[in-house]
Amino acid sequence: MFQSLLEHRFKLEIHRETRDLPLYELTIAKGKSRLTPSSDAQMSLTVEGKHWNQQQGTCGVSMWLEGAHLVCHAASMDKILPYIIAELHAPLVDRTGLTGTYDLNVRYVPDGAKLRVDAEAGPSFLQAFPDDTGIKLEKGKGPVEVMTIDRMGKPSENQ
Amino acid sequence: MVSASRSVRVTALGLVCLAAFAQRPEFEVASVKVNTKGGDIDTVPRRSGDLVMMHNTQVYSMIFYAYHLTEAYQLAGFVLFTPNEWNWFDWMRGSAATPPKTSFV
Repeated sequence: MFQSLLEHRFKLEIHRETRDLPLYELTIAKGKSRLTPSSDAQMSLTVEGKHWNQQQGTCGVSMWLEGAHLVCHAASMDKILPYIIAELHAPLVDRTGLTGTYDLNVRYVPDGAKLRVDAEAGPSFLQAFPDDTGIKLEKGKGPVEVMTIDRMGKPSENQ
Repeated sequence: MVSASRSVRVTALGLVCLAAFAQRPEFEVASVKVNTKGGDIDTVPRRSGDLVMMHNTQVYSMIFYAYHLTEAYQLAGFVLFTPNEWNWFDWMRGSAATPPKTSFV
């Protein structure tokens, strides 16, 4: 809906292209994942006295005094990857070959939270995720689709 | 006979109402204005009927929303307008039964 507004009023012109960018490669450390294959059972969690059930086929991040929790229940890698991207702010390429659905609960201290004076000492996401899942996050480089702005100007007046 | 006549009148009235409703004017709204009043920054759009609004939102953020981008690496070639005041806009798009007020405050 707002695309046409940007294109008409800001004269925005874009194209999509593939660039070689820094990214993270996901591989299984020592050939064995530590992810827990999911079952039909409910996934119940308690953190700092609060209790909840993670819905089947979903992931979520919640913030606590002790840090953040990335929790997934019966989630495929397709569901899990966007949460890793959101934490690393970098593209990923999945070379794990994992095709099942998994439960995971990774506690980590987000970078922003470390700025607090009373911040809980804890692992970063880059430390915690491989430790808990057996999935390595290694820096690499590879093709990534990006949207490139070719032209854009100040908007024309409302008519 | 009386009841048939009443039925015709009711049907006619219904058709008139339907026609009036169908012909209700719709205004197409496509508004973007430099934000001069400040106020809260909308990170998600506000909806009112068929109107979608975002208040005090940067062009950069709007591009992300409009093209379903989530991370900075997905966008290349963005250049900030100068002066900075030109980066904050009030946006409105959709249709409305009456011309909408442009003020968000």
